[in-house]
Amino acid sequence: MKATGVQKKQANDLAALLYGQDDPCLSDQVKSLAAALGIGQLPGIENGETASYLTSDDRAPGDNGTLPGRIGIWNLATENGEEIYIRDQGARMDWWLWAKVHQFPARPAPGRKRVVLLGESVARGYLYDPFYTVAQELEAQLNRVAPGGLEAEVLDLARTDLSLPMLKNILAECVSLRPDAIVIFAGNNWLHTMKETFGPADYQQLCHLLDRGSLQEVGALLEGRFRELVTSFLEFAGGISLQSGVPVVFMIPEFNLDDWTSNPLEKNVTRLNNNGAAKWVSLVESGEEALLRKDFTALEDIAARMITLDITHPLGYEWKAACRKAAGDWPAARTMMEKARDTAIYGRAETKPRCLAVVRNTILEQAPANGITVVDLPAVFKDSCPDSLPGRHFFLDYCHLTVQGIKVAVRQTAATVAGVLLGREVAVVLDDSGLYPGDEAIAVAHVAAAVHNAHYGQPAPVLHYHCSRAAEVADLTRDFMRNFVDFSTRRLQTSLCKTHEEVVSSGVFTQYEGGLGFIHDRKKKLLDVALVDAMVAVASSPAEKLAEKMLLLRVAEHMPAADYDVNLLEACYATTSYDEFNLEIQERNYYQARSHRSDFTFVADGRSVFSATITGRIPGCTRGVQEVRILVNGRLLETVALQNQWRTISIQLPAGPLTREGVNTISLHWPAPEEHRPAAPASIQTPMEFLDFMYPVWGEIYAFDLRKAADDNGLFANNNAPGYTEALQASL
Amino acid sequence: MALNIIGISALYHDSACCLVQDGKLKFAAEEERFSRIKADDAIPRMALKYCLKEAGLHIGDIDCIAFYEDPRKKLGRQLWSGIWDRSAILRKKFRPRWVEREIRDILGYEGNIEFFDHHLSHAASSYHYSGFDNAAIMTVDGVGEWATTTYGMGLGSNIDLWEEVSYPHSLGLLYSTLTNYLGFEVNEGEYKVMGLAPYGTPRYLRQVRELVTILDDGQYALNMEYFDFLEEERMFTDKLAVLFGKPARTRSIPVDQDHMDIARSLQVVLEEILINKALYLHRKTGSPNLCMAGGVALNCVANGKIIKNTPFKHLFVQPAANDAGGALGAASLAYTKYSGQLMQQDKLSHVYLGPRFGTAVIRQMLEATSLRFHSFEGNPEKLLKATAARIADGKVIGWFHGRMEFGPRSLGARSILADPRDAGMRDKINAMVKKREGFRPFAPAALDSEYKKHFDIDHESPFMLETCQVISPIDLPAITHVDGSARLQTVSYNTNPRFHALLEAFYALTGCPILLNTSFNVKGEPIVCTPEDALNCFIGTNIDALVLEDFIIDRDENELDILEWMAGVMTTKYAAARNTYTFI
Repeated sequence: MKATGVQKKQANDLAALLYGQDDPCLSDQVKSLAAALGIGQLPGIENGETASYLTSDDRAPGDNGTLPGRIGIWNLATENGEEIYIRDQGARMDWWLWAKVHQFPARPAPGRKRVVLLGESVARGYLYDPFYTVAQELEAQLNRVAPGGLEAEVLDLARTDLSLPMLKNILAECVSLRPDAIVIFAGNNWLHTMKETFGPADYQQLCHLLDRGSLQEVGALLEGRFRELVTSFLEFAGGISLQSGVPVVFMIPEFNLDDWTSNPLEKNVTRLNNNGAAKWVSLVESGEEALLRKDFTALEDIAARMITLDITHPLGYEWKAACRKAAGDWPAARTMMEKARDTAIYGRAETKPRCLAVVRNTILEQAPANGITVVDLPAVFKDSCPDSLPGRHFFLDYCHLTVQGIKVAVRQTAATVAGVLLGREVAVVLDDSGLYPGDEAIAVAHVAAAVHNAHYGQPAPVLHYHCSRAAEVADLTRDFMRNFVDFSTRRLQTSLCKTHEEVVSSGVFTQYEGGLGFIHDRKKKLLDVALVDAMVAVASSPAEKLAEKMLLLRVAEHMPAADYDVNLLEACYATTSYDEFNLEIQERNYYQARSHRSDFTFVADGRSVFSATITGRIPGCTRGVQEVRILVNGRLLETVALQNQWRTISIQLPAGPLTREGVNTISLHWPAPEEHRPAAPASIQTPMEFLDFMYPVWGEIYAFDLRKAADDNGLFANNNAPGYTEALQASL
Repeated sequence: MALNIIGISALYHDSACCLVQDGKLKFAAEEERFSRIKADDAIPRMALKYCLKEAGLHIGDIDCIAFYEDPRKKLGRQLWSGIWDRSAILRKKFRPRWVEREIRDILGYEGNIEFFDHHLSHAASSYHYSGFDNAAIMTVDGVGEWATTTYGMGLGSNIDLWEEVSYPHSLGLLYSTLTNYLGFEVNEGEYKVMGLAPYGTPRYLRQVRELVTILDDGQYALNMEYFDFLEEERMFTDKLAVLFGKPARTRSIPVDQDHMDIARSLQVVLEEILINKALYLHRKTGSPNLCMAGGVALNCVANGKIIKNTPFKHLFVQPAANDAGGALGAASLAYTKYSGQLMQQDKLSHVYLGPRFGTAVIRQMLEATSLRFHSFEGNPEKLLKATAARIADGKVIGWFHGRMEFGPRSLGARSILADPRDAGMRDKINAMVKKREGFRPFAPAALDSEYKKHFDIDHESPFMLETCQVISPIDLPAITHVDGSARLQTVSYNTNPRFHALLEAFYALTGCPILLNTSFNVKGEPIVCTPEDALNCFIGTNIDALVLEDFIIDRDENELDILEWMAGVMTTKYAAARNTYTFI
């Protein structure tokens, strides 16, 4: 087998055509060469395909009497003559994802009603598990809801990060366990599955709609696809239920509507026609001023105009909700926060899990026809707090419930499940089950919640609330906070820090992966300024100068020196959360701004002079140059000119009054894009290209280095000298 | 303003980047060292950032990015071979001008891009860094665009490759196929097969010769009945097992004598072919100098045979002869094209071209940990004595000093060091850190002033790319292979003064001017790059002591249980995804 000269030439000719083609349509020459070489697959031929969800792993529903060899991570085994399922040692890497149930009998105990709980992390009681779980509370409530009538056991098969295809698999498998009912507590994680159904043709259609400014139609297309997905699942689940005779109860999750707000990436600006981007920025800046003045009248007007301009953006809804909350108009506030939540469908960033209205509505509409009973938690929580929105009292973060939240959710669910099992209506029992985690577990949940909220872009008041709650419940969390302040402030990877090791050694963070929940991905360590400040405020005591210690450490670890540049594009300075624009997009070698403002953190001693070097560009800039404003702590430092090609500029940051001791912010305010990078809708093939189209880039930074001026003799001139930090700390 | 050329090899495997400034190689690094993904194939964005930062350059200062192969020609071969139709992943990755797009979109580069053929880049990576003003050139690897082997001549700055062997006939793929058949990972296990060969006898020469026929001039041909390069799981057909009378080995099956004999037979046939082709090349060129490159040129046993069995007087193999080195070749080709001048590069004397870390940074880092450590700041002599004493005491040392090496070999910057006189040392290191097959030899690093007394070689071998017989009066079981050979590194003061000084300290203490030197990594992970990587590796293994620049951390002085547990969990939970499949 060797390529003949003719074949080689044909292959090279075809490669040259394909590799260099600008036109997505295949030319006759390409087709002819491909035919000559016997090549069946050409670029573009697969373009019309859309990914099919749930094909390879589809299982035949129903119980044929035999037990499957494996359910989730549990393998079928025999112990003392009894068939059991036991966790697979070979799957130890996945154990942490699943309910902490080591083994369970394959068949229910005689005389007991077996209820299988399936679901996502919300169903595991995230941050309390294993000390308190939804399954435990459900079992306790079921056995109270109909005394004497039910001897229920709840088998917990919930899994963190459960996707819709995974849910289908385990739903089909668990029927073999002969449950009397299956409870599904899921719907937060389905957005990714919906996105996976999109192919190049869908992206092209979306881009055409965007190009026409038809944002409503974009929303309709996305929601339509989601509706199809949910409908398909309900039909599948209904089929399982029908064939097996096992009733299915679906718990629709609620969202933290009072507290959870969009993170900075979720505020990326949409591609808007007719100078819309500039109008948007103007509205945002006016809105920020109104918010500072607490002028809700002005803010509400601005918010309304923002919503009109861009229905896909969360900020207009959030500000409108803030106005409605201030006015005590809770129904309107709820509606606005639900709309803000649902903008996640537009893929502005990798949003945290949530159950969108389209999912809820589809389930409410179609579950009954598929024989599925529904517990509508949004309605349950609405009833529980008619004069407010469900917030931090019910939620630890976006969707994970507090003990109080779990009890509210499960109370209604238990009554519904009992009704299904008994075949009659069962009233909700309002008495408490008496089941609670210990104080230490509650405190750890709150402190972990503070960290989790901070790492996903939530504001200081929420962080302070959870830190304070933790400290109120158990004093030991103050020790943890002192350690956190230390390891988070250091540049060293967290898992190597002495103070993190102490946290892990303490053994109290079972709920947070034994303390490994505090570990960051490689090169993704954050400075956690707001969280550390909250912890310092809560953990300080009159005898301990924690704030001063922290400040010294920050300066020693992060302030530039005359011979040491600080790279402000590192994660700890360029971002405040782990949020990502899109996980599928390959990381670029430079920073991209998709909104009007880019904030970077730097640490100073308040006396030193710094010089900054920025290599930046403005894509699509056709006027030669455009002005970029540079602000330090909100005050204008300088206006620089950038163009559509990389340009390196240097600026000086004088000591005071602009900079202050400790954390400072240097911001770049980008001009609204006058032109976007050229991309015809018909050329869009990948999610990356679609997202670039929908959320265009405003500015890019290749390098952003900060250095202390060489002739400056500020207080911390030698902050990198060996032992400097320790010497200063010892002196306090 | 200097002429700044960035060379890149990427999007296949062993992605790397280098900076050639005014004709001199300044910095180079593999992307895997930063991403911690072994043999990472991604466009080397972190390695590029490193090169720019070290040189104090901005991206706009780069005059050209030179890419190490021609993606159009490669696509042509992929279309013809059928891999295109078979691989949905390949098709999904494909976009018009995708390599250029990666360079523009991911690296953010706006300037000139030059593409050079894969084997031309290999050839330049050797010839342009050899110090020769003329040389015969032979490149041998799996496959580039179409070529798998090329022959040519370097004269002045010019390289003329005048003959090639085309895919699917490939010595690299032959070696990889039998690597695959012997149960080792392709693109990774070839070293193992080479290490296994001395344990065997060439009982399978007939069978291996059935696989490949030597033809006239530079040509040879594989018997394609036995090969299937389109399969993801295996590179051979069922006939191969019939030929050897033995089913393919899987990883769970222990290596037996037959496997060793097959490895030996393969090595013998490879050497036969390479010698045959080198003789042909010498006839054609008449040059006394030979430059080799390509993955097969990392077969140091064969290299030794070539120089002994052909009229060539001098052999140069660039230490990153694999695809990573293609970056160097592409950069030098672009330099000669843009400047019209010869490279301003003397013979490559070292490959300490990667990142380094200052003492202050390391101290700050150590002070944030719970580790007890000894500081030798300002007293390197004491540090070296203390290190030598530990090695002499039978301890295994993680050695982290200066700029990281470029290429697959650790050469005394990121190394694990031990006493070569200790008969149990090979098993000890394999058990405690390398977790690899016991048959693989460890290499010696020897003082440049002393090596001739211990090894049968008449010239320095700074890159550990040649094997020679051990003739030492000292018993050196830990570095001597079963056939009495060793893969030597000679260490000079000029290129790595501290490592040289450590060898001297060990020599003074023990009378042995040689250390066992192996790469500082655990199985499946890239060689460590940063002090944090070194600490993580130290914690996750049983290395006795870690020398981090001016500091020593002793395992027996530290309680590492918690850190070890965390390292274990992180290794499994946060393990970087690997792309193990290679599109040929």
